[in-house]
Amino acid sequence: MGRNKKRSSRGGRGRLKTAGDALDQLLSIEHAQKLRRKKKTTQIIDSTIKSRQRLMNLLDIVRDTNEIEEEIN
Amino acid sequence: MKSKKKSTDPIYKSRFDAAITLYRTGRVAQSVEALKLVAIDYPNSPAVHGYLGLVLMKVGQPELAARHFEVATHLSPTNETASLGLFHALLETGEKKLAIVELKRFQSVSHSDDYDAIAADMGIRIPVAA
Repeated sequence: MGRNKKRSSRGGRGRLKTAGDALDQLLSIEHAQKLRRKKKTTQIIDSTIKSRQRLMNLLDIVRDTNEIEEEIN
Repeated sequence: MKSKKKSTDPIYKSRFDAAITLYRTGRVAQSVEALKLVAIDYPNSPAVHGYLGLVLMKVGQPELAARHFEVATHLSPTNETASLGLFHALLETGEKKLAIVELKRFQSVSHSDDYDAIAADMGIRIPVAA
């Protein structure tokens, strides 16, 4: 029992010392993963929105049949 | 059913111009109806289907827009505007997989900078155009 207590207090070979530490580390990893996912999602939205915006701008630019046929033919 | 498609037909041009003018003067619903009739009478015009798709997107009808963009891409497979229209319309209807299929199809036959950016961000590997 004393042996277990000693091992616990020094944390073993690179192991976490307490359940609280383990939880903190897990939350930290999850947070980092969430940030990465959020960044990637933002990039996707940015490029897609810009592309859609350019597309829809055609409606404001095109004035007649000839102009739309230059875009789509 | 007529199959004339280009502005060499004065009636086609006149009707298409009128529909565009309706849109540009704020009579959007009338423009949609006029464009639908032009699309029926001139089914081989990618411009009519593409423009109608854009207007339908504008008024929040992406499903119907996708159908017209799809026709436009069939008629003009290497046209970037028609393809991007189909891509965005499909995305808006929740058909992400089909949108990516269109992205890959277009990039395999032509090239779009928009698709390059979107594919890079989404981590999609795209075939190199022949």
